[in-house]
Amino acid sequence: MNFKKLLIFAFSILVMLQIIAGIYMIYDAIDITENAQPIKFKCSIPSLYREDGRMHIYTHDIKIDYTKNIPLIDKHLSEKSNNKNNLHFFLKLNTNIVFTTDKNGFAQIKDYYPYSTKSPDKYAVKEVHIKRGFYKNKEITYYKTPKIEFPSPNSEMYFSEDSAKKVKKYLDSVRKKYQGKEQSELSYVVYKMRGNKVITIDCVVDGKSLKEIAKSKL
Amino acid sequence: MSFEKELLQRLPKYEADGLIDNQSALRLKEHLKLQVSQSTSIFKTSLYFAGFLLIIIGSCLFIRNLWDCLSITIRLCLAFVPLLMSVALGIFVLYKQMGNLMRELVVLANYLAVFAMISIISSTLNINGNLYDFCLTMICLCLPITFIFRSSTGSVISLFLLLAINSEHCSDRYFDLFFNYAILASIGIFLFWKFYSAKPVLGIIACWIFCILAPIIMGNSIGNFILHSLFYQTNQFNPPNELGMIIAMGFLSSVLLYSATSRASKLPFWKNPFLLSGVVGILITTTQMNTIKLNSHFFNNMSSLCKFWETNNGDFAIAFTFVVIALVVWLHLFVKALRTYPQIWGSIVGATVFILYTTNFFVGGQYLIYVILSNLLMFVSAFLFVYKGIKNKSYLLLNVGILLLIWQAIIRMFVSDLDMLLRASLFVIFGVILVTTNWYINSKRQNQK
Repeated sequence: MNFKKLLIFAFSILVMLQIIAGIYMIYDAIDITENAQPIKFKCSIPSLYREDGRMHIYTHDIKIDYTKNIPLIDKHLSEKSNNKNNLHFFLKLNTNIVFTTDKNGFAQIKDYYPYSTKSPDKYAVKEVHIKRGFYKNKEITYYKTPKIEFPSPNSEMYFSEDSAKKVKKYLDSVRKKYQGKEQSELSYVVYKMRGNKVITIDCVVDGKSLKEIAKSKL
Repeated sequence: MSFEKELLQRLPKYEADGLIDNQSALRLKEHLKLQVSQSTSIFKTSLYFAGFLLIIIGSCLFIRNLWDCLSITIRLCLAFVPLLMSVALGIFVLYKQMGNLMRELVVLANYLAVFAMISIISSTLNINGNLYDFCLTMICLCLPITFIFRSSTGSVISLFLLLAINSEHCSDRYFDLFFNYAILASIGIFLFWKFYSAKPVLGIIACWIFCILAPIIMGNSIGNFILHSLFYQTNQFNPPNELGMIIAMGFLSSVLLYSATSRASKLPFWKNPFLLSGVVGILITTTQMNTIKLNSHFFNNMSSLCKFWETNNGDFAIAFTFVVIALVVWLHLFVKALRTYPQIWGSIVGATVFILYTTNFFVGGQYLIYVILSNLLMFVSAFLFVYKGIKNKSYLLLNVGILLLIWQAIIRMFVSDLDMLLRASLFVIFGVILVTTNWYINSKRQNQK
């Protein structure tokens, strides 16, 4: 085999690997979609935005109740418990979290590990926003359990132009309906997760699935 | 009309007047005909290239328009099409043992094809974006190919991907940015030094790296980076990117003008790093200005700029000083460049626009003026390069002009208020017009012969 043929052979092998990587990506995504357990995360009413000529849905920070004791969060909560001005604060967490679901399928923290260790069932969370309560008519209302928010693990959910119009119309109507009211319990996004791989399955806003709305006729 | 064409027309008259003998006239006629045909072949090739590219862009837009109607399986299959095309090109280049340029193109095509494959699969299956994994996958899959093709482009792309991984994993963002710039600057300086002392091949690689580095180092680190830290420290504003870009534009224009005033002006365009980096830098900043419309940051930044304008604190003084420094340096070099000789007036026009940008900033930053200026700069520069290229019979200038036009076409492919089907049709129509007109003129000329 001469050098030219050897180069062509090596190039072909490398491209085969690239194709295999692509096929594996598809296989893995389908496997997660079919076999992983769905987890629901509460979020604000999502918004639509255009990128690369396609409509995406953007789910804002996801919210979960802080039920598991994580020392770093506990320390900050105890430090700030006497200070009324510190109802909300950011924390660099750098932790891997394992999620589980409650009886309704909503996410809860099952366990946590140092950031450096990687394992297929953990999701890395770098920074969290902790909320202890909120102001209502100039008075503080504390949550029963503090809430933690972190950036949405996946805001990728694509719609075609036609579907996006229907989804936008619906989202606008919900936003109008709940203007000035507490929105946190309104929407949730359904993910299937395996470690840091997260696939958006659906987003439910005010009891209606956006996927269904996208499929429906105007 | 070129000198050769004019001489060819006057030749029979000179022959009749007895200024030139019969045999010399025949020899000269043949020589001039060859020269003229060579100059038209440059034009012909470029027009075919631009025409076919427009058709390809148009076809892509047609597929994009149909995309939502396609089933998931077909979309996933289409994800592999660019990769297969790059394979065909790669095998062809290896088999024919083609030159460096084609080898670099194959590697670039392969990187883009893998990028397209990952993006299409992710978007079709709603997989989340992960910069770290993406960059690592790209490096693992594509870097070996750079060794097969002995490509510098591939190595530079991998280096940037590596820096992106570094940024993603560093907790202190500013230190990290500074660290990245320091690495890039060191590589740039080293290769730039090599450019002056070592082999020409290395010099051209150095030029390319320098021209990629220059906009990043000068644009971001001098413009954005300083302002970035200033405004984050004071916690008052979002980083005003437009201001950073204006300052970057000033510095890049100065680099460009320096190319006409320094000793490097004697070097051809391709080997003159100042000229090259200035042109590429301005291209990048202008493109950012050009496409900023769909970026939601724009409106935030505009409001922050308005706040910035109202303020009286030290931040304003520092930012103002930077703009003034950029303006003074630019003005000094501009006058110097005009006094010596304007090497490429396309570039000078590009540099002149800086003053318009700055004026616009000082009068309140009208969005429409930014857009008009950026598009005007792009088109005027492109046409001047094309004109200069045809006139001087320079492939390089012509290709730079065509590249600018194609760049603009690609931007319009993604960013435009026009309907996608209309955009696709326009691209295809213009592409077909270019190719058929070119073909018609060529066949007519051949018939005449």
